[in-house]
Amino acid sequence: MAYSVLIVDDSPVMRTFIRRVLAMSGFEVGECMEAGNGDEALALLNTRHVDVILTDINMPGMNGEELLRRLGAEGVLKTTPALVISTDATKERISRMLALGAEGYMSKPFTPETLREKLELVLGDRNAPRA
Amino acid sequence: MPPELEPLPSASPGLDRTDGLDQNDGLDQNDGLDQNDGLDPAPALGQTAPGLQARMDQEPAAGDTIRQIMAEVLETMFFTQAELTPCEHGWLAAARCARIRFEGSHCGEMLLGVAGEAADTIAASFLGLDAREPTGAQRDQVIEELSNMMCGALLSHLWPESKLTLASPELLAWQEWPGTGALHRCFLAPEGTIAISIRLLSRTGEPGAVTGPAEVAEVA
Repeated sequence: MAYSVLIVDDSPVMRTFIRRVLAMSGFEVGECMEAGNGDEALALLNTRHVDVILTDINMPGMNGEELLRRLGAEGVLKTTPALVISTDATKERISRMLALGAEGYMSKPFTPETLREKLELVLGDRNAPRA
Repeated sequence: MPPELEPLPSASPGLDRTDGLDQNDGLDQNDGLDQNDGLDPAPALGQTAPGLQARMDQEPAAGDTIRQIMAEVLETMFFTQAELTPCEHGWLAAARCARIRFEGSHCGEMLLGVAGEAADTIAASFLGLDAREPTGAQRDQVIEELSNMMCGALLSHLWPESKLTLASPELLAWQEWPGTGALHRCFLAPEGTIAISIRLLSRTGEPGAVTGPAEVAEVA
């Protein structure tokens, strides 16, 4: 069984890196989708099944905060957890993103092991992977 | 004199100055700062903040933190290592450089320079490619990402209680910042040399107290 993952980041190289680290981590990934900002992520989420969302914060267009706000308002975060990945590790930022409904927060730099641990934590046992 | 600090690109529309980013919010006296840092009323545009510590080179933990963060970022995300090295800046004329500005509780900018051959290899390591595989665009994006990670991690470590917004990195030529209170370090990785400078700016874009000579790392 593998999880479908949506990576939301405006940097193509960062999306590639996250894919790479996911593979290195041993986390079971089925379909791995990418979006360059919150708008693209919402469009994907309307048509595709996603088990977990990995999102950056600062992005052109809809940023990570607004994405979480929208997903929270639509009830998506109740079934699809979001893990925020950011360079910003200030306490205020972390609190703000968790308050918006993010299930977890991971600051860069991070190891494959840390990514796997965070994913297992945010997924818990509430999501049975479909992919 | 550097150009004025321009308004930051709004990559994060919800986090501009109208969004509650009060300059003193979140700072307390236990965040490792001088007692005056960030606790004085924020200076109005064009004014000097009385008692405001504005020299990065005088931030007690900054030197060690840069060293620690550089090592951690390179090892964890780029699968390489780097150590402090004496500064010889001739190579920087041909380096790949990115600048990233930040504002909020602290305003300033960070400059990262990576030697040309090192930029290609570091980009390849980041992307899991062979050294000659990354395109020029990918190499530049990786340099931007490295500067973003360095700046975000550095500021978060130095001032974990702060509220900061980082602008998008910009690629440009290396700039020397003598006499501006900038903190500067050079690192040697197997791939080549990496330089980093960071300084605080006032709201008008002036460097912090310009009272001393250029502060460049002296490495034994």
